[in-house]
Amino acid sequence: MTTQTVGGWATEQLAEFLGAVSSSTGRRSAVNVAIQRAAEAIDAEVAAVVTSGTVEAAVGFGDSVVPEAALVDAANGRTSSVDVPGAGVCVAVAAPLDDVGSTSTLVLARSGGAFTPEERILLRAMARTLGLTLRTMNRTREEMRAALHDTLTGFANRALFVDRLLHALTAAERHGTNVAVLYLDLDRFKVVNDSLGHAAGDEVLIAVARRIKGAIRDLDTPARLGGDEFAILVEDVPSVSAATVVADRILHSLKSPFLVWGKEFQIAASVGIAISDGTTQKPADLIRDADLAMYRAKADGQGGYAVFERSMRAQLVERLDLEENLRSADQRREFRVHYQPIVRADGGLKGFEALVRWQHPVLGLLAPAQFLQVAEEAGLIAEIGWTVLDQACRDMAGWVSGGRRPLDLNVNFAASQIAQADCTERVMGTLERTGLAPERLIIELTETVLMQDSEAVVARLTQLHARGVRFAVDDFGLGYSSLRYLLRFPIDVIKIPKPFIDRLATGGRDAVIASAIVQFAQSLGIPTVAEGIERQAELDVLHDLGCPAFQGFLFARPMTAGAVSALVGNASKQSEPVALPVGADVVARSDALASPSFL
Amino acid sequence: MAVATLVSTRWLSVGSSDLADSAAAGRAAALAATGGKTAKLLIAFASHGHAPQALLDAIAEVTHNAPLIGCTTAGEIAASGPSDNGVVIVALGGSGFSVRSASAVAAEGQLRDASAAVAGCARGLEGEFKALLLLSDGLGGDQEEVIRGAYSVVGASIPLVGGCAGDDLRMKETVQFHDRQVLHGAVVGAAISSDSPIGIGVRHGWQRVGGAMLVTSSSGNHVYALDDMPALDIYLDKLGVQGAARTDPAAFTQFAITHPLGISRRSGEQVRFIGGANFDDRSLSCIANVPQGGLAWFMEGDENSVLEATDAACTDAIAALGGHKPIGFVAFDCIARRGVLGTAGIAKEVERIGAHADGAPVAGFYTYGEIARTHGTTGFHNQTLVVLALS
Repeated sequence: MTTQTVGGWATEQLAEFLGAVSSSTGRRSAVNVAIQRAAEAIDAEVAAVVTSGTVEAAVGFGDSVVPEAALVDAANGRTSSVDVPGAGVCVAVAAPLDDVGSTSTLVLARSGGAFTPEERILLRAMARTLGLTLRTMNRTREEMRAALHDTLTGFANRALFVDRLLHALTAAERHGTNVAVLYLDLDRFKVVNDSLGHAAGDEVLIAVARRIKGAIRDLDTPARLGGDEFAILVEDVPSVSAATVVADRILHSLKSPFLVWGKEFQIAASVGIAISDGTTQKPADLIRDADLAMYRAKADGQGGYAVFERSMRAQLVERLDLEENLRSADQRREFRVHYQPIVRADGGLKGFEALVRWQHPVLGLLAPAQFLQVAEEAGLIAEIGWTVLDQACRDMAGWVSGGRRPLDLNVNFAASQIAQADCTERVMGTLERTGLAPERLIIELTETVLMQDSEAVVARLTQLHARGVRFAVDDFGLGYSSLRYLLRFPIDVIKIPKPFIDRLATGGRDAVIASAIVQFAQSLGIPTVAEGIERQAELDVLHDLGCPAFQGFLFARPMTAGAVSALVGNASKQSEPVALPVGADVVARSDALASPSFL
Repeated sequence: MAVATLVSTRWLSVGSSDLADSAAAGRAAALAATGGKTAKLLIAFASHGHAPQALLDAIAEVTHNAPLIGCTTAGEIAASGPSDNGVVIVALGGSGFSVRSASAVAAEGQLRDASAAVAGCARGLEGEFKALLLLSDGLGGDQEEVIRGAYSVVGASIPLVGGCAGDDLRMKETVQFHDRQVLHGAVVGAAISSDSPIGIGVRHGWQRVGGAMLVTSSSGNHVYALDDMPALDIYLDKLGVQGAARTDPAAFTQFAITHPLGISRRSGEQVRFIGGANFDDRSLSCIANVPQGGLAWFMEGDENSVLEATDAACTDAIAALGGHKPIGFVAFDCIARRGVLGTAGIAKEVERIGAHADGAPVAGFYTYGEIARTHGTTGFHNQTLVVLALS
């Protein structure tokens, strides 16, 4: 009936076959379309794809049992016929899907007689076409997966997470629901990486991912955003508390120790939660908010969560910026030590309190109040303390060298410095290195430090005290003052804080407290230093009370090391009492100190 | 009128009516077909003009709710000759037959799923000889999916036979019947098992006009371009269409039923009935898929070629009975063949079928597409006569 050549017919069939197979969306669909079209193209009752010894898909047997053994044999060339119910014994022909090492074979079986050479060529071409399509699909799928997932944990990566979040936000806006982003950062991950190496760190990340996965619903999207930072997209969140329940569940799941390479690690995490507000929001904004909340959670104490509030944004951005700079400030040598003179009642210079300043690259010279809280929260305070100690000891050693009259050096210590096991060694090492005599160093501790009241701290202080280092209680009476620690710790000096001094001249309760402290200290034989004296009247009262030493703007503001050098150097040359620099640094002088001599 | 044949434990009879009242027509045809006997299956072909629910209710009443499948047509066929506006009912029964019927509406064009669901009625059906009779909505998408869906369930084990419902060439909406249900966009089917052979014959009688063209743009059953030219324009020009058919949809359809599209297949060609044209985007709408990238050509038929095909289809169906005498024929005849033959021609054709049946009753309908899968995997046809012979 037809005047076409078989070759022409076959070419068209192949074009149709390619069109149908290549428009399939996955392997299963491609294989099913391929066997259907191959059977139709050459009028076969049966078509099947045999993969690795099993029938992947077959058409021609309906929903009755597929003769797997016969089709596998046909695929392997062991038989050239297959018994097909309803069609009888059919001639079978097979073609591999790939040139070499093919694991899949296309098999066709027909009752209408043997296959012609042209039909065999067509079948081979169809098999190769299917093989090529499947390989392309595999590669594309793998590439897509790799492009959108974290290879370590299998979680979504940032790109996929942002995409899912975008869809979730759109859907939430449409349905009037909310989505939450949980931003999770491991708290002590660095310890694992530093002590066991990155391979162990990777093990921990995999284990953490597994626990996160176990703590969330299947429909929630977990992602690894990088390093030890994870994010979880929780959709359809009815309330803030529903999101905090998820955070709680995740944090709880991380509580039991992680066993890595035979070693147990306790790893906590901080979680920040941000919830969509029903308006048009960008994924990046929600992720950033959750990130900021996470930093708040970290600041509030590790192992917890915090829910984002609008006010956090500005504060935290500023704080993070400061912290970021602070981390490298020591390396950039931006910490400066200024010195405020401490004056004896007789007008002589008793010594200096070393006070840290930060020469911020943009903000200029910053006072401790502007950055010490951040340093404390970022865990940087101890190192700053050691830097100050080192510099101050070095400066003081220089000033008192050459047999000059000794001066005291007051240096503030943070709780975390005292808590360090090698605290004693570091202090003694610094003194030794800088050549400053231990007797010249007075370590100022706040009441908070002393309240720790641990055996280890008592031991450390006692050791240092035994080697000549003295201790002062800073801001005495402002915190949880307890007479007990005055007896328990080796305290050599009590500093009366500025708030008491400020109201000294006006009388009243503060004046009574200040005089009580002085008298109390005198009765214990502990000398006092009155801080923050700005007015002559205050000095007069303290003088009358018998306070032996003073510190404040009335005498001098904190000054640079250079200024101290000049002051101390001049005094040394003249061997005479030296007046403090005139101007802003010297506010006034009492009659009693009309000619104060500092040396 | 009624013609009945009793062969051992199987019987098949046909009743028809041209009464205008649907209930009366249904009642008359059903009574004539069953003759008061209990039927295992009724196959009803009715004009689109009938009120389908009244028709089915009346049939159910007089047959005591015998299982029924059926559809509307583009003309009915009975031993008395072809008719319009009538009802023809085939009844079969006897211990030698086992029958199960089913129906499914194709949601969102899911023809394959619907067909597979219907084919499920063949599961577990005992008997040596079987056929799955399918009637579908010929205006409901790619009818090859009907074959694929059924084949996915019954495989090569059961031949498929049947046709697409018609609506007297209105090309708007066809109706399918299952028991008392009036369905639209559905596939209805009956799995028939017999202890005697069942034969199926398939033939068309078309010849090519002009050379082959490349299908340069098509999607599903819509053909947009042939040889990179708008499909409608090249169709009108190559076939030299004149007058109203160039601009009027109804006139075009009338012309197109005798001028189908042929597409290349291993067997030589398959014929695609052109159901209509889009005069805006200049595309052709066929009843089944026309693959892009394949070769196609226009076809036409004359009375002789069509009648030769009728003889051949009947001969093939009888040959498949292996010497057993037929007890009845059911014919699924393309509306396009009717268009070629004309009123006198179709009377001649039915007469010829009756002659092949050798006294056995004959019934059938003019279809919008024919179903016959006896070998291979494909089984949807256009412009073709399919004859089902039961013995």
